[in-house]
Amino acid sequence: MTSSKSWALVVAGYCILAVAMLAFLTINGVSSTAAGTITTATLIGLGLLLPAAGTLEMARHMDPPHGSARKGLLSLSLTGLLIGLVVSFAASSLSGHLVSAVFIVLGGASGLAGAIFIAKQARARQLVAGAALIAIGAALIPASNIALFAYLISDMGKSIYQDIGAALAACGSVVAAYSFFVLRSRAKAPAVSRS
Amino acid sequence: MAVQDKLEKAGRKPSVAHAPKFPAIVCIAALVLICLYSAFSIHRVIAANAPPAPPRFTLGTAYRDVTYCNSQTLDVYVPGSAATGPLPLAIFVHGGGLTGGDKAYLNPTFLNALAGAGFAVASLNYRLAPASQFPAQIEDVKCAIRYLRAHAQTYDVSPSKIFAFGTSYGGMLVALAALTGGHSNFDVGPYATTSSAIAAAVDMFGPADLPGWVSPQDFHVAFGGNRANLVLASPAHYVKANAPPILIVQGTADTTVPQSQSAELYRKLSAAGDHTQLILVQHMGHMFAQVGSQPIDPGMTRIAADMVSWFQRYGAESR
Repeated sequence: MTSSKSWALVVAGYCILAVAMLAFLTINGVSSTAAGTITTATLIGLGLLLPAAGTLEMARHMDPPHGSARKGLLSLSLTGLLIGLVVSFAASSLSGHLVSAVFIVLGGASGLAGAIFIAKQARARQLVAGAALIAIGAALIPASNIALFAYLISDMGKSIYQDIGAALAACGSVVAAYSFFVLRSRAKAPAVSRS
Repeated sequence: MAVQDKLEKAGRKPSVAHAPKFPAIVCIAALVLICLYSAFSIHRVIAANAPPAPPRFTLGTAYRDVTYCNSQTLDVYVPGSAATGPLPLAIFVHGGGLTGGDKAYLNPTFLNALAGAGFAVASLNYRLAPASQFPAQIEDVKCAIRYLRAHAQTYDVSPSKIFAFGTSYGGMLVALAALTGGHSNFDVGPYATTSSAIAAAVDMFGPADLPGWVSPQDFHVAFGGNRANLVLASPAHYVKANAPPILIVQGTADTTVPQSQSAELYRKLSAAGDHTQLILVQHMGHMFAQVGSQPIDPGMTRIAADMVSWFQRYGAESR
């Protein structure tokens, strides 16, 4: 896989993730068809797997050895989020939602750490904002399920908090896609003297 | 130094080129659209969960938001000149997973069919989980029956001709009310000396045997994670001879409360020698939803007429 394809995978993946979160917004809290649920799940899977594959490929080929750890963290984060969200959708018990929350918190934290490393080195502060929004948004989904089980919120409250989470994650995905697009543009741009 | 490394490898100095303007505009536009769409989606969820307006009643007098036990409220619809009192009374109990729903969910087709046949109709709210877990709901339903029987003169209804019908968990509650009789462990609170018996019931797609059916979420939220409560809430657990007649209405395409639940209650009632009937509605999912391109069969008007006939048939047998 060429590096160009890796960048494209990451940007396209984050864009798909944004669309997936909008699809989740559309079906959450209302009765949905099986086709709607399957489409949303597929989009979420693609939206997390594509950037995970892209960042992993970048880590392996573009800037070893130090960059591997940074972009590897992002890849690990996205995989963690994917597992967490899958568990959250499939879970019907409190323990299932707690397991989901653990995956999402770990995934979100490693994503944020990776984004901070990259941002420090490559002046891409938007990536930190994007990773933070994705982590917070994804975490709201199992958190609202747990709150429902703890009788802290109603069923409608759960749907609203999950919608807010999906909206935050969608915004984070757009910002992350943008930040990788900017990083790619900088890499392509001709050198300009700073003096 | 991810990007710098790459640039240095390419023999260039790091670029200070700013972000391209066009993608920045696209990014901002996407963020604005996401915010607008999420606001729309949240508004839709709130609107979907808001109780509907109570049904319009043009056939007589509507007494709305009458307070009964535990600060709960009910509406009473009394038909006008066509009927002569005292009237038989049909009580509607809404569904909603024991966590939601409202007395305004009374279907106008049922209200008008009953009122047109000379029935007064009451629709009641009851305490909801998780604030109030089972058996608060059946206690309120039974208290509402006792309240209405105690105030029969106020609404010009006959205390010996009180019926009940309910949808989903409301169907389960009316079946429980019918099968547990006039004085049971669920009869707590005011009007304790008044009977909470009903003459007949219509259970529309209510769960009947909860231990094998209830979702883990309902189990924790509505029943406090107590398996004994599941048995106590199961109408099938109380089936005995000489129970009030129960008409069961069930959609064949219902995936929320499967047909097996209604079939089990029907089988037990029949085996006990009780008056019962199971109407299987083709192409109907949960809450009268049409599944597929064919309309539900029998339709709502026919179901309402069957309910009226059921109550009229067993109205003479006061309990």
